[in-house]
Amino acid sequence: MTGYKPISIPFEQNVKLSANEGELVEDTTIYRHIVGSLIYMIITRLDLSYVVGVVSQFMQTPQKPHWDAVRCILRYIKHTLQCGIFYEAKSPLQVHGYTDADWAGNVLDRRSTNGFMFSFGSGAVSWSSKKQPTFALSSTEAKYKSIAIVACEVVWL
Amino acid sequence: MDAPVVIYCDNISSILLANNSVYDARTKHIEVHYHFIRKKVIAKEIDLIHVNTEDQVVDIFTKALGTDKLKKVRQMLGVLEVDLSLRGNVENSSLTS
Repeated sequence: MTGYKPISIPFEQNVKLSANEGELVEDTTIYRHIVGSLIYMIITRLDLSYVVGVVSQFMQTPQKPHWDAVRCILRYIKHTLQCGIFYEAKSPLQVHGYTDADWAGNVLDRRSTNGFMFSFGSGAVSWSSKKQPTFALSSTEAKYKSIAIVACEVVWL
Repeated sequence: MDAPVVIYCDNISSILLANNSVYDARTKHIEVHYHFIRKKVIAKEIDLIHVNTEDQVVDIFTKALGTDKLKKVRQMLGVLEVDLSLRGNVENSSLTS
């Protein structure tokens, strides 16, 4: 894996992974090992949250396209090894929240993906990328739900 | 917190829905606990503001982005390429996006 070429994006655009896409990965344990480590990595690397969320949905029966996606993430990490969140000393200390939802983005169960982020000063302090527990009938509903989830986070903050 | 926390969302209709506590036939299927946001808006703990899709930084958490957008969003989130040396101070550290 050390011989992989670095790339600038962690995931192909407009590609949706589904559950039955080809041959099963020979060594499923290594897939789970790597994805497990990636989940640990998103504690500090917020740009990986979404893609790691996607590949971790296939832990049960990882297939070839899923394995390719994981390799893609690893190549992206190689490209951005020096990246980190930088908190500037001089920036004003204010909390701002951002929220968004991708309506019915998951091709398997058509549930929406929910994302939010809180910045304090210049850097992000709290973020999440998660599939919503219930499906939404409209994009307004999906985003309304994501606002409500953010509200819970605000109360906690 | 004294001042309301500003939350940016790129969907006008959901902001209006949260700001307007009217019982509506089109929203009655949404679970009650999601309407929690309306209480917070009335109590002035949260202020919802619309933001353009181009400036929406949390796109990174909901979809796969292309190289340019990813770079832009990463910079807006404060994820920068930082010189990992522990020597020196904040003023002297070199930053590139």
